[in-house]
Amino acid sequence: MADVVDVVGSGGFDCHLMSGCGFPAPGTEIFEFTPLVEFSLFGITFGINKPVILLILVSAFIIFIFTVAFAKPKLVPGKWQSMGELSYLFVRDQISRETIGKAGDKYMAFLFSLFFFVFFLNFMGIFPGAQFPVTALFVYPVALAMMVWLVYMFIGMKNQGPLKFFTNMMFPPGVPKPVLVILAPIEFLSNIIVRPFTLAVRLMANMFAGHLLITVFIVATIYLFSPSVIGMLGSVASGIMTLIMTGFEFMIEALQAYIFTLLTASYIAGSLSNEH
Amino acid sequence: MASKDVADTKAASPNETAWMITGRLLAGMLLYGAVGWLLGRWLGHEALFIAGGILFGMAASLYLVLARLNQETHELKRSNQT
Repeated sequence: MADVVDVVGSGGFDCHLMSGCGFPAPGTEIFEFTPLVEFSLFGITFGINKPVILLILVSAFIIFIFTVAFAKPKLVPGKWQSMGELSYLFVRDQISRETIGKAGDKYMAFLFSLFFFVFFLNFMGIFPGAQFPVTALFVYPVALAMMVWLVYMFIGMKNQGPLKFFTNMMFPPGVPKPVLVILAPIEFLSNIIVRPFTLAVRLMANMFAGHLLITVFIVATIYLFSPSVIGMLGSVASGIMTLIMTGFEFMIEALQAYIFTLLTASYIAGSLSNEH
Repeated sequence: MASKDVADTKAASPNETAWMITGRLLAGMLLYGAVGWLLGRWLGHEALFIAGGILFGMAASLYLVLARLNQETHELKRSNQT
């Protein structure tokens, strides 16, 4: 809860309703972190802050659980293996085969890793002790979206040929030629620039808003805790809202990871089919 | 689940179609809004050209969305026949 404490910490925990202290509304400062460790490598300064540490921990965790799950596969799966297989089947049947079809099995490694990476990064938002969704910082979704962009561009150019990929993308069939002049730039812009941009923004905005909302209710719970009826009522109500929002946030985190992967799969499907 | 018949390619789900439409509308408005702005800077009446450009972009995007959905329906029909 370090970020919440920072906000309330401006007035200390004595900042309550009747103490003549205004509501310390959390702002964008809860998304700013000072580097804990700084070091230089090849002239570039690296700052390791909380999100970076969470990122490393999440990566290590994912590598660890799926190594445990799939290291020695048995015919009759054990506890870890059946959990791993269930999650694999979920991504394969609900995301990959649902959008790409059987041809998508080739890209399962990418989709599977992407789904769990995004999900656990999101999940850090409500994980006790971490309490910060790493994907709420724009750089992380941008890096993921750039990766997705490279993948579907490469698959498209490989499958349809470099030139044909762009002409298939830009010229929808059955449209009169003069109208194509107007439509082709829109197609180009929407596929090459708007797509990765919205992919990143959707994830970041959802996580950003959710984290801010939870923080507001936690700060309100502490702030309204004061010797007055209205304060106590407000404090209890805010506390309950915090719990409800935390549950809600868990749903959003899972949903956003699902949508991110689903759209990636649908972009890959678009690159694979020759008619588009 | 694993044993069910899976086609090689699939039609887009409603979810993806929704995002496809959003993306195209956004792109059309951005592009022709920008073109309108440039025209306005060149010919004067900037506000008029921006508004006109955005409306034109929206109309073009809607046409494009319809064309794409039409194409998808045709493909689906054809793949169902064969």
